Amino acid sequence: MKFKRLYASVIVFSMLAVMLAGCGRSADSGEGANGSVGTAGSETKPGATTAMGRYLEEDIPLPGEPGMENERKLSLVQSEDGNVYLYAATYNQDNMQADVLCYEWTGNGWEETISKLHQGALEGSSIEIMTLQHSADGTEYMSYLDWDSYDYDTHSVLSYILKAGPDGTQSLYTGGPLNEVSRPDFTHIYKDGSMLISESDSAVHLNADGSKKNDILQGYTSSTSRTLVAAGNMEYVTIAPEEKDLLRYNMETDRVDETIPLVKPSDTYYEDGALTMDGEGNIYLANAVGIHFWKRGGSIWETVVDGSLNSLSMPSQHSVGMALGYEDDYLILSMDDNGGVSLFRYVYSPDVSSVPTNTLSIFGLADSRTVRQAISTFQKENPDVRVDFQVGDGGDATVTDMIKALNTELVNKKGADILLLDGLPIEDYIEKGVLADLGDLLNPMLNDNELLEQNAGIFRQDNSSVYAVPLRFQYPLIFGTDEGIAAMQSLKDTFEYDGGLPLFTNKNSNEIIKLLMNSHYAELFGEDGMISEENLILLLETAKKIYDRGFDKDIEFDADKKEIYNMETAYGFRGWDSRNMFDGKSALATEVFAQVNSIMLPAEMMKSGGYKPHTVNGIFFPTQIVGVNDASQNKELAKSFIKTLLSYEIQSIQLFDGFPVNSEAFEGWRTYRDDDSIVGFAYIEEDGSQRHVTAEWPTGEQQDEIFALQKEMVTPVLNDRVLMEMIMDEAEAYFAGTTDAAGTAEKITNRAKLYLAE
Amino acid sequence: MLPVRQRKSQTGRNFTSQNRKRYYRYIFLLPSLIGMTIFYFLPLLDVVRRSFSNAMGTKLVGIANYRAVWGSSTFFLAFKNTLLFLLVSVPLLLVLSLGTALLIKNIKGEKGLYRTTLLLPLAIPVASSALFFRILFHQNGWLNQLLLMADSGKNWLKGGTAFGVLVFCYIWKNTGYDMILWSAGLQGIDSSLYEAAKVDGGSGRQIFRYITIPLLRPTFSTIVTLSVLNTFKVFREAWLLAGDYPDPHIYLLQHLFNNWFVTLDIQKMTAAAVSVAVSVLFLVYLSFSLAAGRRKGKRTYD
Repeated sequence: MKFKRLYASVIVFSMLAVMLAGCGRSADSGEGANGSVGTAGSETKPGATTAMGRYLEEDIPLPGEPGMENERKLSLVQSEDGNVYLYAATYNQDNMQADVLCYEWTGNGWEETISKLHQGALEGSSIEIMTLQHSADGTEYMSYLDWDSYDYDTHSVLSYILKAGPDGTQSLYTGGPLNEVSRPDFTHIYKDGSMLISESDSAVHLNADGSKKNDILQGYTSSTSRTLVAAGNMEYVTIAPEEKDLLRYNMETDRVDETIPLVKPSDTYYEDGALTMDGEGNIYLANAVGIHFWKRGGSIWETVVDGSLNSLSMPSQHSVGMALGYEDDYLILSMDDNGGVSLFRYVYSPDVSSVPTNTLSIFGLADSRTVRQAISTFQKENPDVRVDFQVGDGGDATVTDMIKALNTELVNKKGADILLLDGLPIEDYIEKGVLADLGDLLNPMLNDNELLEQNAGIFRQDNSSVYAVPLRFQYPLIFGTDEGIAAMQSLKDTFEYDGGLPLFTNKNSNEIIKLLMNSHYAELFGEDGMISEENLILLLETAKKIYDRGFDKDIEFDADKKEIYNMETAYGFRGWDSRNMFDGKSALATEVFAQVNSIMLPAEMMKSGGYKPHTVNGIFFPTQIVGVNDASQNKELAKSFIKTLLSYEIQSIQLFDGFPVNSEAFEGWRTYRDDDSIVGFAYIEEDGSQRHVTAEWPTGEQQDEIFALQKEMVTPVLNDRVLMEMIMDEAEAYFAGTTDAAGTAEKITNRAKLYLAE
Repeated sequence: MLPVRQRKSQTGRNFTSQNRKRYYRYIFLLPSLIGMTIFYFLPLLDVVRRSFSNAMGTKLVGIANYRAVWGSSTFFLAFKNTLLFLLVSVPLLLVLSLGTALLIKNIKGEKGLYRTTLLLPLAIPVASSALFFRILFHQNGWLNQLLLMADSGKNWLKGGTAFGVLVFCYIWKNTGYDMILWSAGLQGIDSSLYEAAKVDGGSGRQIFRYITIPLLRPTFSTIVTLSVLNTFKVFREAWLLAGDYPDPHIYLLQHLFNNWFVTLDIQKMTAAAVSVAVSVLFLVYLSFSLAAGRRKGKRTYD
């Protein structure tokens, strides 16, 4: 009996213990479980044992004159004996010679050596250098295209390989042009004299005399330069045609020796990477996830360097070359979106913890390139901090579900340290005290014009508290006929517009409602702050008028037109309106600029039509708004991260997600010029004729004119998602013609009143 | 002497055993009580506390939240709609499901097919059924096509008809379930009672009035409780049919609570929750008091 009691007691207490233990939260659970929306930052407990040793990133200054990287073909090359070279090559059209600089890696820096390819004798006035190689015996190879030989019918061009021996003798490797390839993107000469030449989705193995030995099919991404290949030791490693694996070819047998699964980053926009091999045939892969090691004949990749802690994961950086250093270090040549080149070295440091001991968490409903960019920089400056950015989009959860999950944490004084507030109820969070006051950080920056006050200071309260700050803003403009521009002044003016051309053409009802609501949001409300039914009727009737006048009946029969009609943008301002205006089909063109080079086409259209740019009632769209969770235990660290986000270093980078709020960075963009750029598009007119539009970089005067409008942008548009969806939902029946404007407005008002009265 | 001593001894052992049994009762209740305290009672107390605090629960604000809630037209609209839905849909469901149960009971032959058919809606996921109803009741939906009103027909999910659609969804989903409960109750009635009544010349209506209804009374209270609880689950359908801000006719308390949580109006949410709970408790108390009074009056009269 006693035994039974004892047994029962043990069972009861075990159950209780398990239940209660299950309720607890692990102290080191930095990353949220499924459904979690970002947990507060954590810190390793004092006294806890920490594993030490991690690769840290160093910036290595590029050798040679500053700016040379933009002028020359840069290649990071490793010979089979392990020496590392950096080539900077260009073609000198004046003396028709290759101008090749070569630098050898000493282990701590670069030492210039004389390349035997320097002033190589080349024929032709238009040469493009493609690839460079340095073999173990000191022989150098350079492949190039001779554009003088361009065949307009077959679109082919002759390519050559120039060989420079250690004694300086130069010769064409095959004695003439390569017959089997037109545009090599990777070349390698093997010890037996055979050549591997890769060209987009295939590679060819040639004998020393240029005759073909074998063809190899391979994967091909849209990246401009092939970097995911490596060759050496009579082997060639490339991507399989399905792009899921790497294939190791034995170049003696021309057969696949090994199939290796490819480590790919989850984010679709970091698809590039660099590959190299060591003397034993082990493979090294660098991409946004990190630097990975594959032992010959192994079964799993070992991640040696965690890319999330350094520049490898920066959205703006793309690894284009990789070499193994002499002290278990790695050298990565990286190119940014603007063509800038950087060289990073990853060196093992035994004195830092293997994993950062502090975590700074960020949560947002959508991803942010600016935040990702800053994470890498911040982690580099603070090796002891890991920034954990959790994005709530994706999966089956709705926006409301994600907000509710976040609110559950916020109510319990938890949640991420930094909140990316786009799509979240910002005003409610400020009112309820969820966000910390960033006044001490932001007021000096705003007062000293370090930040653009009218764009960045939109959340500054009367008492100088600042609870949130946008990292970027987007720049809506209109241009077109004077009548059209005048019509956008107010909802009433838009309604009364009766010009010769429709205001907009082939724009669906949702797009028109978004455009009108964003342009005239304040007009929808009465003095009592409630939605005005009268003005709502005006909005609906105006939208319908625009829709009916601009409706293209051909959309049912013309797939292209239907696609344009169905096109939906975030704000209702779509670039396609510019083309319609350019074609003389509508009175107005709209644009939302998110990057500096997107001004080229609109500027060209304005120039050709003699139009001037205008703001839309001074509105602008603040994006990537950040705030600090008031319950965060890492407030100072969070503020420090926000400072990094707003710094010139981060803000000046063009990430295609909006204009900088940092004044110096904005000024840099304002004066930025890329006179070599040409953009354009071509389309077929209704009469069958083809039309081309090409645009060069706008004149300084035009650029100034467009950027000067920033000063007029004083009205931030913080989309009221719920109200806009409500209006679009009810307006569906009105546009279908089954209800009238008054009835629709009444229904909207009833629902909106519920929403606003809550 | 021995028997007496034995009796004393037995009495003493019985007394101790009863105490022990009482003691065991609490031991066995303890895990459940701890669970209830942690997961229900303490959060409930926290809700009450928060109803007197600001949104983040950091500062007491007195009855300001209650004033805000009681002065809110949306709260009263949601409360009214929820109550109306309860008052309309529950009696309708009870009558319909009882009718169906009686019909099936009186069917000669295989009854399983009918029961299974009526139970099918329970097995269909809410998202699928909501999608079906959206297609059915949409402006260009099947109902309007059936009524030859496809081009100019009304959207049944907008305006006053939205309430009817919601009631329909609720009835469609729950009729089978309640029918099964009624059937169980009907099967519990001794068939000899019906036979005796028939022998005595009782009509069908009289048999239903004087035998079936009185003997279904215990089942009735169970079904009413379950049906009322199920009305609170209809929010899923309402939300899937019309979103966060539906037509005002189907704007329920759950919509309001849901939206308040999104905007972090926890203070209003908790004050409203406490208000609704107190109102419901008061109504329950009132109905019990009235019922008790009536029973007492009846006994006195008898």
